[in-house]
Amino acid sequence: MDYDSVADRLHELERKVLLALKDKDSQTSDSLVKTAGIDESSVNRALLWLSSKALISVKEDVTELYALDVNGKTYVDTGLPEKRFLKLVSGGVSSLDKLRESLSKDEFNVSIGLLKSNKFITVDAGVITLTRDGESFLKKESDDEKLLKLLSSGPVGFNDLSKDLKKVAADLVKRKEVVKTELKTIRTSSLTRDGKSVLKFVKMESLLGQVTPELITNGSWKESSFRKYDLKAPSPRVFRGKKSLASVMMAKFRRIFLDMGFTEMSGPLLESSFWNFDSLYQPQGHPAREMQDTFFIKEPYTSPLPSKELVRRVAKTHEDGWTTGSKGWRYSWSEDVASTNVLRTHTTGVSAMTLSKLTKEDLPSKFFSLGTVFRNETLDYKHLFQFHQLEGIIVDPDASFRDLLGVLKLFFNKLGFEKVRFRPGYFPYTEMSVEPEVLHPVKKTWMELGGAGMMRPEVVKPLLGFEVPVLAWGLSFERPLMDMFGLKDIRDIYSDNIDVLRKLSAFTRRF
Amino acid sequence: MPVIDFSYRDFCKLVGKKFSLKDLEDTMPMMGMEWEGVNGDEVSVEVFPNHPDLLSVEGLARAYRAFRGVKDGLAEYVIHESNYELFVDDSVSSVRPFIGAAVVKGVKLSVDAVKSLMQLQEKLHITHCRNRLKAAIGVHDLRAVKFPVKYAAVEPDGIRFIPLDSTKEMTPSQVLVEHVKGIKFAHLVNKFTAYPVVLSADNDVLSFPPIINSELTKVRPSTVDLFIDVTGIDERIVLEALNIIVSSLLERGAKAYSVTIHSGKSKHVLPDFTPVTMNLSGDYCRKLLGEPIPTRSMPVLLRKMGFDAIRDGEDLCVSIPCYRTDIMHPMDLVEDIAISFGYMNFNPTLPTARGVGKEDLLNSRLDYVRDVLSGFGFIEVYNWLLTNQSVLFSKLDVKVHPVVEILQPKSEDLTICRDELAPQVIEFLAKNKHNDYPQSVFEVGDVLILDKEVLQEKHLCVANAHSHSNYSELKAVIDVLFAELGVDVSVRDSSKDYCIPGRVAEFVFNNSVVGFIGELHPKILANHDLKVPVTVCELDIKKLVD
Repeated sequence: MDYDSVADRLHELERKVLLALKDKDSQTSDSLVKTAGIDESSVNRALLWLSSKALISVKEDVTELYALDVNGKTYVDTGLPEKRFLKLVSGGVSSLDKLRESLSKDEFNVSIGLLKSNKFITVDAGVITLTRDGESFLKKESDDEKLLKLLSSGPVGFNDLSKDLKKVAADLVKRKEVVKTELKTIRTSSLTRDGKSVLKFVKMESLLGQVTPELITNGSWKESSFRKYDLKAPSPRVFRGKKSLASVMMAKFRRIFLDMGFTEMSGPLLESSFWNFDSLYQPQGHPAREMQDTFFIKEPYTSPLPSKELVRRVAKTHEDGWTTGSKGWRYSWSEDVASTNVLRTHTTGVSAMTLSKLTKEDLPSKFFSLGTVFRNETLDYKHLFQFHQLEGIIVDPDASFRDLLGVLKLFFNKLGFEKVRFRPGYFPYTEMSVEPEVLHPVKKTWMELGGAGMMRPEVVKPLLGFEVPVLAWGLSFERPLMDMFGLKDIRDIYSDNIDVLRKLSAFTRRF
Repeated sequence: MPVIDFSYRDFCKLVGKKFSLKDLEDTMPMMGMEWEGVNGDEVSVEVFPNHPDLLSVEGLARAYRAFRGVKDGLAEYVIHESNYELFVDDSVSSVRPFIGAAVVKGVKLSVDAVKSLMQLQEKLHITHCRNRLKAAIGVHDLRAVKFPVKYAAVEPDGIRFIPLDSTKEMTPSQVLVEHVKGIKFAHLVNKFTAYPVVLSADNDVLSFPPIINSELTKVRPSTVDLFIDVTGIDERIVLEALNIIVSSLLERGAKAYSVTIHSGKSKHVLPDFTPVTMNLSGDYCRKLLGEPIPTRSMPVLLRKMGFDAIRDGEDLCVSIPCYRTDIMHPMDLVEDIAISFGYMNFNPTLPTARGVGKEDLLNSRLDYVRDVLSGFGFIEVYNWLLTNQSVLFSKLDVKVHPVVEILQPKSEDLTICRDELAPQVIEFLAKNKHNDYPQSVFEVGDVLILDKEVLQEKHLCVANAHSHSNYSELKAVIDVLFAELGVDVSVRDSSKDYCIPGRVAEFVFNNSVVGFIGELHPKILANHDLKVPVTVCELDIKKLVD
């Protein structure tokens, strides 16, 4: 140990405590407060620092202390109730009823029991008489009173009491809130061998601490030297303000599609089943529409349907395929079922709304959205009931399935996933349906990140009025985040624990 | 999506050639199934809901056999003509009008075969038959069936029989209250005044669809010949289910015999395995896929998926097997060609369509708002749109008012949609009372306000919680936000159920109220067990950034 250097970097509090320990075998923290001239919390901080540097050793003893309780504090001023009782009797009050009025019920009961058993009073037919013992008891200061007086200047250790006081203390603890016991840890500190060596280098004169405006202007720094800091000491914990990981990443994901020339679209969170299901050729009675997956709305139960013509086309397509060349689902389509409201289960309804507004002149067009969706699932480490979907469509007479695979591959490459593969999938509104997977760069396993496909003619034609290839996808937003940021619990992204959010950094070298 | 479990050994036997487990694991996902895993001899795969033909090991083996070239093209099934007859009584027309039936003989009911048959029946019931609503399947031991069979509706207490797995004779209405299956599926029939039953020639009950079969025709280890009935309210679903179940049994070498169904004046012979035909143009297929696949190789690709196809120049006439219920449009055939060709054999290209990216400006403007607040040291939180009355109303002493409500909520914590952000932000602070202060938080989020219709608004909520948080400290931050956004917002006295009177103000912008700021009332802090003062502000932020 370089004693000189250690001594140089000691904090002012540490120096004060070290100097206070000089020439003494050991000291308690209480006495250090006096000898070092600093408050208790400063002593404790200094002891912590010094012992971590092995300059002192601290011994901890737990002792029982006696202290005044609520009633005890009052009795210091007013006197013990039994003394007040006796005083009243000696002053001429002899009826029990009168005495009852002057003391609280508790005080009265305690007093009368205690005084009777000690034969300080006699009670005969409701009349109280003071005995000789009682008179002498009244005159002199009792051990009880001595103890209260002693404790009124602060708690006292059991072992610091005289034999008599020990006995009364034990009795008073039993009485209601007069004296209580507390446990106290007493720290006794002494210098270690290193501590003694360092102490030799501790300068007696005071060193400069914080640079202050006064110090700069008055030039006092010229005469003194600066205390050197312990540069490795841990810094205090501070918190920065920040955007959520989700917000930071949403901006990045949006950037990718904007860079690729897509127009951003948006739509409402609460929509009719017509947009969420029917316009996407999901038959009424389809399992996905049922309760376990979808949040249906009780109030308001329905929403108005869009234009009659659009509704007619969708209805016909479900029933017999309309003019799309399809057989349709072959059942009787209901407007009532289509009107029921849902919290959207995907943002594909937003794509449907966008398609319904397009004309031939708008083609080719490319759209994307990153929006909130809802599924009636139980929250756990890999499921949320509210999450985000990255939706996109390309409406282009020249687009093909091969182009869809190309766009998906490019997107995932831009997200930092080098290897992408495609598996057949199934969605009621697309055909070819595909499930893109990316190779996890570390775990080397394939991760499914959403679904894609070419919109079925049964979806496109009713919405647009004509057929055109529509490439579409709905990709997971939270899943890749879990991978990028090593999250084991998907709920951490939207954690309700501020400490989790404080620790979650959105910095990534992936893209 | 349904998961099918099957024996690997049984599968290879059905395919007719041994393939390694690795081959299955690599191939099945590329055919459109999801590999779930292997446990000893048992393999699990997930099947897409549009493929009821793959809900059995027999169906999976049939698809695999074609895909891996053991035997491609249409599977050949023979239905033997016979004299079995079934009469449909008019009484079922308003209850459960449709029935299909078949006789299957020489079924080798091995352990694997029984397991698969039960699994297929169960999975078909759940998915294709929509929990027995649209159709229900009954499988009987042919020995106890006397022809001609009758399908009729009877009075709820008009007939007695011993239901499957019971020893007691019951009437149909007793079954609905006493038998496990009766209780489970009672809702499908109890709105009717008569219940459907399938009866033997001597009036023994064979089944009480869609509830339960009779103990009389229970399938036993000694059973080799089966009678199958499928009843329902959707004729297409009924016939498809019949075809799927019969074709599966034929995969095990059984023989199928027809049943003639007499319904009123019409009669038809079932099961009907005649393939449906659909035309497909090679050009259409190439244009959709973008891959230069010659038309002449398309029949081969289709045969690999279990179809047959005849080519005439650029046109194909495709025969679709009776169990492929998913083929509705030529595009569905194009997908099968794509799967046959192999998704991984496509050359990904980029569309030629150009475009200039155009963002929704609201999103980038909200991001600026986030920057302003995080610059002040506020941390962004996200709360759910869904919440409950306690958070939104009672813990804040706010009077209950109409909000968007969830139908039959699964959890009592998530029953309504928020119409302001502040309640959950306060709840967030309450949950974090044991974490380090100061806690300065904000949320940008959607709220749904229920007026005559549902209004969706984008709000901002900002809150400060620490031992000396107060109105003016937070107001100073909000003033800077307004200045950054260049909006002229005035302040006036207001009141809020959960704020201290005289310490809550509302913001006015363009003559309308756009938010509030105030100190939480101590009684509200106590409701949340919060021990530090909290100041909160909520703004209709979309109005301010527009």
